[in-house]
Amino acid sequence: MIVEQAPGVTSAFRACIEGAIASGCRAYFGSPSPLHALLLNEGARRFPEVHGTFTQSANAIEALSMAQGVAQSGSIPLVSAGYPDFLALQEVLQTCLDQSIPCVIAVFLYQRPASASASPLAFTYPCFLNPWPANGLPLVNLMPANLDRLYSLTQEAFQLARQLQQPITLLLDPILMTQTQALHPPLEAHPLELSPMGPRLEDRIQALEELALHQDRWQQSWRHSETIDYYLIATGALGGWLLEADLANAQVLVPESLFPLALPEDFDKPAYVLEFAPGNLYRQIQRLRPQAQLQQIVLPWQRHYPVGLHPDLMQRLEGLSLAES
Amino acid sequence: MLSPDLPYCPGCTHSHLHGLLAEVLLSENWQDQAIGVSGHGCSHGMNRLFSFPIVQASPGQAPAVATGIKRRSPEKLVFTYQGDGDLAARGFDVLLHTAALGESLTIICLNNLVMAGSGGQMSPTTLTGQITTSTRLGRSSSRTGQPVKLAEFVAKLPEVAFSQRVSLHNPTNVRLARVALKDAFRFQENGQGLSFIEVLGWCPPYWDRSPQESRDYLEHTILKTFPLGIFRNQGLRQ
Repeated sequence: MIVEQAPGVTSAFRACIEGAIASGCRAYFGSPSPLHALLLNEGARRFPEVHGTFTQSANAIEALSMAQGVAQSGSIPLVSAGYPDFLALQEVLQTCLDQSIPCVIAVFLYQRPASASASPLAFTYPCFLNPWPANGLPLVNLMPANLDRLYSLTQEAFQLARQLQQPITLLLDPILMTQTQALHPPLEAHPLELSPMGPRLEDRIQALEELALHQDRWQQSWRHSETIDYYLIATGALGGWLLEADLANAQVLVPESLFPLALPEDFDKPAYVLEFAPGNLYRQIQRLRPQAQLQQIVLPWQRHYPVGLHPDLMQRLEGLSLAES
Repeated sequence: MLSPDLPYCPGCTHSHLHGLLAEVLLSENWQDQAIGVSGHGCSHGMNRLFSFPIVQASPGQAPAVATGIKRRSPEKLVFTYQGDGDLAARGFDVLLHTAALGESLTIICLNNLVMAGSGGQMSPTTLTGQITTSTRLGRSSSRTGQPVKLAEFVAKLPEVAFSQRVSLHNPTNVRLARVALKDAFRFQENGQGLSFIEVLGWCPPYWDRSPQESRDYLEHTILKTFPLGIFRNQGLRQ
């Protein structure tokens, strides 16, 4: 019996690649690394189909250098890298920031765990929140919480790259990347072309400041403020699950960009940051929002995760609700 | 070239090679097709010296940047201009991978046997016994190995169409260098693969010699280790 795949169901890898193609991107560079290579496979299949090019480079540094060449020829390329490779990219990334090179870098937040109990999720946020030595400005990072937003934020990343003339990072949560969902990608798009002259540095700084004031790049569950007992803050797939969980007495806040970090300055109810050990997001938000009274919930990493993660998370939240009530 | 005022030391080979490059591109009417990628080192600011676009790459990454430009604009004549420190130390792996990808690019390496841009330290092509700021008693083969022969090495890589070592120490060799540069760009124009030109030069300040003494040193000493010649030639398609 032949069972045809439902046309609307899309894997996260496809959502990311289709988002880039819909933005008009026609050049993709990457170097394989564990798990992140699945994104490369999808790109290697799709880009030639739309008359684009996929080039497998020997390492991520070369991939970004090739992308620099493409960007300086007038179009915006996609580069992808695993998290350890992204850390090795800094030198070329500085050059790209220095020379106003627009490109989108999809960073797969996975690293080989150092020990059996260590988390392979590389949520070391300081790297994405702090200013870069090249220009004293943070990289603009977008972090989707579900596949719909992965698709649309990929397109937004290309628009921001064109507007700001600098690399934009798209942070991919590995748990999110294991998911599938129904999407309806458009069929055609036009390649993005750059304006001959990029914006001046002062204009870029102004645009970044405006971006920081743009507070709608986050998702929240709708609750009336009088009915909630506490706020829950999470990113990536954890945030997506919390939004879907429809918690009766909690307001879920999911920032979709680490810079600019779009969160309220203060909270009128207790606010919890939910994340995996060792929990860097809590420290970073506390540093950026010192007046907010935040608390931290750290989920210890289990070897069988993400299998069984969802029930564990719900059990933890039930305990939290009982304590608050 | 935009200006005859060059930011190099007196007697530096970069000035001479820049002039030769400009002459070759103009004589063949290639100046509108040319896009350069410069590496790090003394030639770092050469994008201000030419009227055609020259892109500044990260250290060692010039061949990779040139690959990106060539894939986006295959009709352009894309070349990299690098020193021996940038190409053979920082970017040796990038050179290997670019050659393996089979890109039709032209790589021009000015080999002056020291890392002049950073202050005259030993580079991978420094001669055994040569004094540099990081080898005060001369390069020791037992501690720092033997000089890398770039043109011979590149000639052995797959997908390389042309590899030649030239020098600029006398008029005859300058003429040969001019022909070699034209050939290298013609190989690229035909899409035959990577073309590599190693130009032997000198660095009077860090060789601690006058320009005339440097030329004599190159002719009588360096050419014994780095012989001139064509090490790979697939033959130009007509």
